[in-house]
Order: sequence, then structure tokens, then C-alpha cells
Amino acid sequence: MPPHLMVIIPAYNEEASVGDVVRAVRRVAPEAPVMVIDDGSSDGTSQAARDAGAELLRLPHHLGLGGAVQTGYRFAFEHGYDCVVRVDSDGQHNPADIRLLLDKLLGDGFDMVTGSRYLAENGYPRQWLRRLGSQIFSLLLYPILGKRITDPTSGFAAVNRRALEVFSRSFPLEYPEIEALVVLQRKALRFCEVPVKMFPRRSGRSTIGSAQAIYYMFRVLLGVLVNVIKYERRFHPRPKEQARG
Amino acid sequence: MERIRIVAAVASLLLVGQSVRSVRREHIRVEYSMAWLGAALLLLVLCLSDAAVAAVGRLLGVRDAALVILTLAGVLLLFLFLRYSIVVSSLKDHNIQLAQKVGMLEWEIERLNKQAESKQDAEKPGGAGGSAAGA
Repeated sequence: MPPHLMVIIPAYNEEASVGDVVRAVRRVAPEAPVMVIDDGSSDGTSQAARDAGAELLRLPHHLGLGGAVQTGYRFAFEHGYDCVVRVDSDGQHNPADIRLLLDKLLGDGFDMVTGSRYLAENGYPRQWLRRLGSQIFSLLLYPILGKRITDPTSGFAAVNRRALEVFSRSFPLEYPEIEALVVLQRKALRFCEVPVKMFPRRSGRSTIGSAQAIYYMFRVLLGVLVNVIKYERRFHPRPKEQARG
Repeated sequence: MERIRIVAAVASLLLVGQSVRSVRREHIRVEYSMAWLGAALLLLVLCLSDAAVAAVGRLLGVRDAALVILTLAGVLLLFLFLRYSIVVSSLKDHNIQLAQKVGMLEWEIERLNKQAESKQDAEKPGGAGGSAAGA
């Protein structure tokens, strides 16, 4: 494991599963601090995370997934960590695959590596609607990203310090995974996928219900479009004092 | 005077009154009441002045005074909604940054408290000395 690694686990009302996830991550990466970002939960998520031995960062109110993940990235960046692995608190991600993500991140010089449940047959239950959604996004993202991403909604990701710097300043608030790829592409950072095993969530409900799927599609598409056409200052004029000097 | 102009004039006056009342009770900050007051006064001028309605009507290519007033009211509302969407978005961004900072500072305070406690334990004669938390 790299020396300055942090594992972040955003959690919102995941009392039933977060403890097991923390323990599983600590078994795989015993040297790395595990930080649970409690996104204003109203159940015992904080206590469960603490009992399992995680560091706990509690947000004063619910920010949404992107806000919680960005908190972890900002924290890690400000505290000098070199890389961060994000694991979801619902038990869908297999902590044993953290090593796969890190090997690719550190070995091949990528800025972000995400775990894909569709790159290889891995026993993940076939949810046709989710798979269809992923394929549509994959198709739409291809001309923007210049490569095929098989699982654009995957939240299982490892990032290095360069990506941390970008994300600590700019990270989408709602449904962040797809837009995050476009943010990285805009900043000319490199990313790729590795095949991982994912499980059905152990408890709780997904943030995307069937009724919200249509809103999700349009929201994400608009977010992607905005990121593509986003205005960014190309020139950073020096302060007057420096310019005079 | 057409009935629509009377209704719009009364609505404008109500809007001015409500805006002033809200500012007095500190429900709206002065800077955010200005847009509503400006819009209401502009609408009031249009309702009371034939010359103003005719001038705006010529500009829009509309003869009907009622249509002129309704069009202008609609456009004003759209701009006000846009302005306040920008304000709300900016406030939300600030709110997120503050919430993140509060979370991180609370973590830091907790870490320092634990450090202080373990230092006190270690300084006690025969104290065990705990392990400091921190990443």
C-alpha cells in the first residue's frame, strides 16, 4: 500500500452496513486511515463507523453524495495525502479490489482509476435498467472522453494528488460520478477502469429510485454539457504589486 | 382606464407595500428588495402613464395596452427569477463550503481534545498514556 493513502467512505443513513464496510477496508489496508464522512445521517451511522474503528467527519447537515465525497477529497488534499480510495458505505464494493485500483493508479501513472462491474463477468446481478443506462451514458460520453467507459456510474475510485487538487476545488454535487469524468477530461488528466467485483447493496435504498431515473438522466446530461462548454479563465493576470515589481 | 391596468396598478402597489413591509421586518435584506421595488414601480408607471405604454408598445410592436403591460410584467418576472436563481446558487455554494469547513474543524477539535487527554493521562503519576487519534 502507498505510504500516504486514505480511504474515504461517504455515508448517509447506512447504520446497518457502514461498520462492516469499515472493518473490511481496515483488514485490507490496515495502515491507511479510514475516514467516514457522515452526511448528516439521522440514524446511528456515526456511532457504527466509530465503533468499527474509523475516523469520523460529521457534516452539520445533508449535502448530498457529491458534497460528502468532496469533503473527503478536500480533507485529504489539505492534509497532504498522495492518494485516496473512495468506497461506498452500502457494501457494494469489494475492499479486496482496492489493491487492483492502486496498482493501476500507481503503476501506470493514471490520475483516477475506477472499478467497473461490467468490464468482466463477475457475478454482479443483471439489472437491465441500470446496465442500459450505463450503456447509453457510455455511448454519449465516448465523443467527449475519447474512450469507452463501461461503468460510468461506479463510485469505487482511486485518485492521486493531482486529481485530488482538481476535485477539492470542483466536484459535482448531485450524481457526481459521470460529471467527474468530464471534469478530469477538461483538465487533461488521465483515467481508466479496472474490472472489479461488486455486490448488491446490503441495506438501505439507492439514491436513484425508479421514479428519479428520468430526472437523473436529464440532470447528468445537462451537467455533462455544462462541463463541456464551461468557461474557465485561460489567463491569470498577475497581481498589480507583482507586475510592477 | 382599462380594468387590466387598474388591476396591475393595484398589484404593483401591493408589491411595493409588501416589499417595504418585509424589509422593515427583516424578512428580506434591502439589497434583495430593490429588484422587486424596481419592478413594481416600473409596472406602476406603465399602468398610470398612457405615453409610457404607447412608447413601450411601439418598441415591442404591440398596440394593445393590456398586452404591453402583461408582456413587460412577464419579462420582468423572468429576469427576477434568473437573478434570484444566481443568488440562491451562490448561497448554496457558500453553504456547502461552510458545512465542509465546519465538519473538518470539528474533526480537528476532536483530534486536539483526544491529544490533550492522552497527554494528561501520560503526565499523571502511573498514567497509562493513550494513543493519539489522527490521520
